[in-house]
Amino acid sequence: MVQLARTLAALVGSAACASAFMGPAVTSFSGVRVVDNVDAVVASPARRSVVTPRMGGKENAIRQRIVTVNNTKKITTAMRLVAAAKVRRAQDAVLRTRPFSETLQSIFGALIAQLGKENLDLPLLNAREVKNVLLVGLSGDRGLCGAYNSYAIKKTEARGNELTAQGYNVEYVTIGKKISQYFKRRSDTYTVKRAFDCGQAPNAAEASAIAQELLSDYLSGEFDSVEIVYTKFVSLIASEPSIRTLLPLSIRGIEDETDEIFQLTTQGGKFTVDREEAEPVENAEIPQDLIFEQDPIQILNSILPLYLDGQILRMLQESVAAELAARMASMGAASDNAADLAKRLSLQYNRARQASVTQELLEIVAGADAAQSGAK
Amino acid sequence: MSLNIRVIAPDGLIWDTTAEGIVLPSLTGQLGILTGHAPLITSLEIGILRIKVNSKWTPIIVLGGFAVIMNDEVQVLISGVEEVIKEDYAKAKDILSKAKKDLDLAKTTKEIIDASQELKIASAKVKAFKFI
Repeated sequence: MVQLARTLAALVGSAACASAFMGPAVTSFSGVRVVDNVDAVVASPARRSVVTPRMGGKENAIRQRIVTVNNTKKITTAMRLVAAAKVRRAQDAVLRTRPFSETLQSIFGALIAQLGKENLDLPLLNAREVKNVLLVGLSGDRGLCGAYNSYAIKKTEARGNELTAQGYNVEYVTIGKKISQYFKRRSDTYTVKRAFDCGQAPNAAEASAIAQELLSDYLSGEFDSVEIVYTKFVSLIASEPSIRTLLPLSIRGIEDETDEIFQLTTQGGKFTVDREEAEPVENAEIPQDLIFEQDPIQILNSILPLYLDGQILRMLQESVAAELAARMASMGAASDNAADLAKRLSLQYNRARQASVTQELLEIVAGADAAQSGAK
Repeated sequence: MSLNIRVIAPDGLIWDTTAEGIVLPSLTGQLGILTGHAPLITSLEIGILRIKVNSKWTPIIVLGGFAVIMNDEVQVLISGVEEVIKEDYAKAKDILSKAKKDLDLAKTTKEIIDASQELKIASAKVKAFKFI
């Protein structure tokens, strides 16, 4: 009899140990919750007097997890809404660039038409034999935006390797903290010439600082071609890492370019994006007796860098918009997952709770039975 | 009769206004435009652009670009602007003297180009205070 009581005591003791050990193990994903659990364990003797079924460590752990998951969900939902608001701002910024690019294009087209394409000897337009290529990669400054950054980085890296395999000498300019970090860490393989931050709302000053550096690299003859890898904003769920040659510029490219505008709208309570192609810009009408205050070549030489400024600004804006869209999508997915997880956890919690209720009932019934048979 | 003036930077319209006259910092010197000017195109340097509205001059620093004048319409496309704020005179002078020093210290071609650009902006800024 004594032997039996001892084994029982040992069993109960080990079970208590096990549960005490299991408590923190289950909730070990955060220190705060472990502390909460200890509180619960400490408080449990007091709870014995409460009528509601006594919760074990498992139920408490699940309840805590549900709270955390819901808190995380609140954060991700907020981040998604913030990203959506910023996409709208990015779209306004793109619309504000239109008067500049349209006026520039129409005047440039008219000038070229009047001067003739043949007798232009401009360093920015002349392609020379390519030996050294400057590759500009564009990513975001921050994470939590799905695969946006890694796509941009992979595309840049792949293009760089492709060019190297073709025998060109490639150096890199990185725009955005993420891509700068990536290339900096691999500085034994890649030569990074310069690194810029991308920011959340690119402006003309940033774009023209970048444009000026690229121009001086090109004009000094250090590089014969400048390419850029940026992310084209297609829609809220799709974006497209694209490669473009920035320098030398091509007259065709400037003349034929049509602008695409994207607009964030809401349809049935959901965000969508309309992308439409703008009307091609008509050349300005320039009178025959137009006075050229300076040499036409000199004037074109001051127009082309402006075009480059506009282009770079546009690409920065597109990439930022794509980043924000990616963040919206991934935060939306995270919120959905959190909701899903919370639902599954509350099922588990209810099941565990029901189990303890049943257990307690059984104990009471068994106790009553025992008491009755004892009385007999 | 007045001039229609549009000053446009890559990230947006800066001025869209009518004025009595405009002085442009062209590559070959200051260039004043009044109504009825013949069609003209010119490159702009870093410098002060000022417009006259109600007999009062308003200056702004432009960072290079070009301007087209046709039928009393002046379109100015520039890569950027710097605003002139009255209270910043002392600060502008400091920046100017620092820019001068930087230019003296510059060695490589690139440094010299950068420093002289800074100097141009700084001296334009200091000069612009005359017009406020």
